Amino acid sequence: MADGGTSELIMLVTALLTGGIVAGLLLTSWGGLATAVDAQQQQAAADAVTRADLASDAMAVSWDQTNCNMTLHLQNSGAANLETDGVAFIINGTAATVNGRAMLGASAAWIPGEVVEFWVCPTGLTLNSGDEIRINAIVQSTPMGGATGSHAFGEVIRIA
Amino acid sequence: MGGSVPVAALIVGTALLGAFALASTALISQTRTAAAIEEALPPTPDFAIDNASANATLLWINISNDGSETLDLDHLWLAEDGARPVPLSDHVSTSEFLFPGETLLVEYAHGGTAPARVSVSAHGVTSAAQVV
Repeated sequence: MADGGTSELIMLVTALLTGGIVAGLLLTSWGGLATAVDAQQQQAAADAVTRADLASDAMAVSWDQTNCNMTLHLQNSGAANLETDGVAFIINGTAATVNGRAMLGASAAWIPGEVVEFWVCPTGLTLNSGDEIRINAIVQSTPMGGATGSHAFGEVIRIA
Repeated sequence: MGGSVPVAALIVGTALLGAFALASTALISQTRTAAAIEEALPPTPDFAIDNASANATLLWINISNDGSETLDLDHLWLAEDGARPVPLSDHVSTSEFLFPGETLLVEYAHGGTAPARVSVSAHGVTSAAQVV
């Protein structure tokens, strides 16, 4: 009887330990999966509402070779606010430096619909009036819900 | 022995219920996010400059909303010969919006030299016309 009680106790403890470990593993793995899915959703949502497009005439883009200055206008065409200092340009395959920017609308923040003027220098590039080149721009949203959205687009432009 | 198996089964069963609850929460969250994404982005506008003309002092632009969405004139940006764009609302005092099917006559003084070309851009759509 005493042997039977001891063995039952051992089995009970073993069962409790095994059950606890299995339960812990299941909850940890599913909890991690749920967290990963949630983070991915936040990123997807942030990317989906982050968007910008060229707002000026692509057929006549201003270019000053002497001062290495191309003037580009980007409109926030998404649903999230964008970072004006979070924009990068690649011009005709050359990474460009942003030398300055100006909000053209009345808003202080780059809200949806607003246009920002960028002064960009594609170092080492020689361009002439009538040249047709490709520009790529990458914009970033302000942080929202722990994620920062990003959007990239490309356009062919003609130098004025 | 008789009591240990049910206890272990109870623990594992509870854990499975917890995992199911987590999976359900993730699924519901994903569905809500997908719905929010669909609603968040503004629709692509559909508009066009019908014509543009000028005389010694004034510039006229007819612009039509050919789409099904009302357009905010603050979000339509007008550029002359590739120069710095301005919101169309700067030149329109009679309305703040361009409704579906509506054609708006924009009239303003061009400052002495009429541009050769004008363009209007909004949300990735650009319409341009030569000024005659």
